[in-house]
Amino acid sequence: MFSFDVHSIYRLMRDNHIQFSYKGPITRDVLASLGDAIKEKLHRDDCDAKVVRRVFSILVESAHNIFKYSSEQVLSEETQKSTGIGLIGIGKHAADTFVVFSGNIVSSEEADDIKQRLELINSLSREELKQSYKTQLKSGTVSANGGAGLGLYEVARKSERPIDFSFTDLDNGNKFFEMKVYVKVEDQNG
Amino acid sequence: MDKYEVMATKTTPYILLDPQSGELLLAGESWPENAMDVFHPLFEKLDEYFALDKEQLRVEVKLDYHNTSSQKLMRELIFRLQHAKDSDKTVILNLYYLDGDTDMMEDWEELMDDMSLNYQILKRTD
Repeated sequence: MFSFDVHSIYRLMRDNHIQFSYKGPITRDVLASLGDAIKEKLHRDDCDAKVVRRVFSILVESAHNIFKYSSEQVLSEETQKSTGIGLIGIGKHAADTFVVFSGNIVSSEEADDIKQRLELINSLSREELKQSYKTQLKSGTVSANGGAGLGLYEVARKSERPIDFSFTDLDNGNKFFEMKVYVKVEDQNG
Repeated sequence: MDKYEVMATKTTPYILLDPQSGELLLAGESWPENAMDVFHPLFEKLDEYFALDKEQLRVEVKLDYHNTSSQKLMRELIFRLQHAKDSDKTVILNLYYLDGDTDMMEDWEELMDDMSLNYQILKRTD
């Protein structure tokens, strides 16, 4: 039976200024609804259009990472394709900073790969990041599942760095990967 | 060849390739799970178009938002346009961004960075 109380979820979200959070299969419809909800909410809060676009973009790239790399997969009824399960959400980290957070289970090999890529990205200066993005854009092709290898670079480009991430060991050898990405309200001018 | 028109969804753009007017228009948002589902059918139609005895194609890209995998496929689109130009077709390419969307403006600059195709990056007025 259920052994949680809704009030605890309510408090957790309120105390951490989480505006919304979703856990489940990241399908196209879910993503489209979340996108609408966020855009509407941020516009209502009189957020700068540029910040709204950045938050939205980070959300999309994070969500796409989940449905491609999550080791929990379900068959989506809409597309008859496999879709990853994970958690994504948005909150206020400070008065002037949004946080886009995401989490999903990955294999330990996938975890090593993600860790390496994020450590590299976090070590780059803004200018190096721009160059690396361009190099990645120009090299290679899109993989069969639509991956372009650009998602994490894009997330980094549009946020305050470093990207905050960690892995938690799970019983079965898999890891829980979590990532927090911060977006400042005032214009960062790239 | 018939007009190729695909209606927009929340995650895929409106696409119109009109052999009559010689124009390709992309508008709306592009962030599908797999951007190849959007772009590959278009590439086939473009091949068909360039196989016709047409001298010119005007390309208008008025996307509000596109994700990284769509950006990668935009690059493949540009390669195809470049190839057409190299085969003596006239290609007019206009890439638009919304007023204030300097991120999108930079995306277009990076996209065209090493291309020899003529293009314009324009602020949208619609």
